[in-house]
Amino acid sequence: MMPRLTVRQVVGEGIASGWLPADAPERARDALVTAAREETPWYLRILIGGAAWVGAIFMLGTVIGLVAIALGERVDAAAILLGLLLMPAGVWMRTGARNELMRQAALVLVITGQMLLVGGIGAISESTTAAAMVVALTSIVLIAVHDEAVYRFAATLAVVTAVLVLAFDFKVPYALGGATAVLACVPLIVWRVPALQGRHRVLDAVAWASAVGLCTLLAVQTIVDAVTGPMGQPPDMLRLLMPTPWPLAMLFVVLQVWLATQVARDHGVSPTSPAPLGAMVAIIVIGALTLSTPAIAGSLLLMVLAFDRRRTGLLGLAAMFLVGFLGLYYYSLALTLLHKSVILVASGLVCLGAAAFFKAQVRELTA
Amino acid sequence: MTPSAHDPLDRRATLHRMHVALGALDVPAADAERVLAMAARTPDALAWREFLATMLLVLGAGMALSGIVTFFAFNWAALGRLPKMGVIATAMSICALVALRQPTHLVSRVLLFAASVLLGALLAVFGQSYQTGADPWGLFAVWALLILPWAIAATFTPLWLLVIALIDVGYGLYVGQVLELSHWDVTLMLGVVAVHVLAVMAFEAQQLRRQPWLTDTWAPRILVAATFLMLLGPSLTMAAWPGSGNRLSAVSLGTLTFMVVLVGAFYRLVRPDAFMLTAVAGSVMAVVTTAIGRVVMVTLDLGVFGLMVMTGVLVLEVTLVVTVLRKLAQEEAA
Repeated sequence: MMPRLTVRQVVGEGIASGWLPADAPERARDALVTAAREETPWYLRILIGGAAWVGAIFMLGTVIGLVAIALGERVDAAAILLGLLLMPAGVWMRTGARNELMRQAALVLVITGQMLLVGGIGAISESTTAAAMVVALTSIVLIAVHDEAVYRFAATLAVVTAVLVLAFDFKVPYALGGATAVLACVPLIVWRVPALQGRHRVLDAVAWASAVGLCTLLAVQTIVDAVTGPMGQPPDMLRLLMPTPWPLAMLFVVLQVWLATQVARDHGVSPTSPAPLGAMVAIIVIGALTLSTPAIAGSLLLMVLAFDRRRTGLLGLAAMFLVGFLGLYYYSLALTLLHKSVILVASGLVCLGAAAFFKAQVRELTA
Repeated sequence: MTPSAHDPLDRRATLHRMHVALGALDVPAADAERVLAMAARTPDALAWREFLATMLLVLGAGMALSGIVTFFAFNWAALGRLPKMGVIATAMSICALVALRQPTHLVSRVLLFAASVLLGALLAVFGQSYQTGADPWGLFAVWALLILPWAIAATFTPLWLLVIALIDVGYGLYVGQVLELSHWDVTLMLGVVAVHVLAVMAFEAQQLRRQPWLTDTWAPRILVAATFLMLLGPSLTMAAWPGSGNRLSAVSLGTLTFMVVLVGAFYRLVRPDAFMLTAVAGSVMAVVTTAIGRVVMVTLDLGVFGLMVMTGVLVLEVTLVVTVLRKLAQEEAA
């Protein structure tokens, strides 16, 4: 289903266009074989990430224990100082790391340092707000300077959590909806704006974490809706946790339409030609029908982006989320079963109509 | 090793790989940017249309079906026994009959999956309407048995996983509600492990055919990962409190050891798969770390120094695992 574009194809096209030398395949192969030694598949990254967090907790216990023995009650101030020392030490160690041991040790140092700083400031100020601000700021800085995909992924999720804690502390209305909207935009911008492709080493993990965060926040809103519903909630809490759904659904529709115009431009066709226009009409009609349920338009956005960027994992994530969402949606208390039934059947029929249209387009192209 | 078993030039042209390749070629920046843009291009118009046609068809069918189910749920109380069963049986039959038109097509397989799920709903409504008095395990066993021909015909991995999940649930209910053994937990755990091992063996055996029926390697990965996760909980209890005398923990640790050796040997020597070896390594790491933690923190009672030792142990373990797995990947690629 996902069309595969290999290094060989791209290099071959580069040679044919005169942009790459004739011996490019051999030289590229040598470089890729060397680089493959550093490549880490996603499941190994999960193992490394999990072990790093456990290691950091052990190290945190060690440091706090030693400081408590040496300084007695002045643990918090020392924790801040040590945190400020350990984080740059970890970044420095990672920069010069020549083997796996140093890379893992650097990851543990950075996480421990961050935990010490956040814990120290949180304890001295006795403020969750201050701790959340430190989490957000240090994570953003470390994402930029600490060259480790596992850390960047986890730190992006930490930033999202910290920002939500701050928004809840300050009772910012529509906080969850706002965070969801930002998370939907990040992967689109990172993976679609050509100017950012040079920064993919830093931003790829951020975009992945944003896509995972988007699914998580949409799931949280659905679960809150299914468990409590809109009734009986204080208005403040309702504005925070159960924001009006239509602005979010509209944003997802706008992003899908933007993506459709970008694809049309890349194909060198006008957005008003039959295929892009058909896609945009389908997007807008499905969006209009599902204004009360942004998760549907959100998962469609991720699916389309996944195909556009040839990312099978993202497509799987979006499909799994949609299946899970449809299961939870049955229990939503915001709408009656009849209302949900009408939305689902009508959207399903629009999808089937659009599928027939694109099937005809395929026949036309292959004829 | 699955992720690197090919010529590196035949791997997906990610931006990272293209940067690496271009870095070795000393081409002008403008040309490198053109090549990068080429690697990051969107699929062609035909691929887009095919994708949208298939995705919208599956999505539309799924949403319309969910909507119909929700509509009948809205009117459920008002429906009699026969209309309830009739509605589900009709939907199931339509799915199965439409699937027969083009049995090898992905959409037909998805329809057979839907028919299989609806069959379970039909059995549940039948049991509820007529109060047959049958044990609940029978529902799942009969459900698994009845959808077996569809699973064979569809050669669709998710449908096989549904069959295995139904066998797991049916077996669990049978052990819990019918056998009434004093060590039901051990019997349950061993039975589920046996089902998963047999399923993975069957998958790997059919992979040896010239044209395998199922090719999705994620299915055995899910089964093995689920088995390891199920065994890890009680095994870690055993590693942390070895003298607790818990039979489930002891048997789990023994079974986990057997599984680690079996899975590790097969996916290293017969069909190399980095995911499986990572699952093995993760399980071993968890048990070993817990056991060392027990010795350092409880038996030797090293206090703060013990925490420092544990940090070092963990860093060394993960370094060793990553180094070994990467080395194996390179050997496979060579």
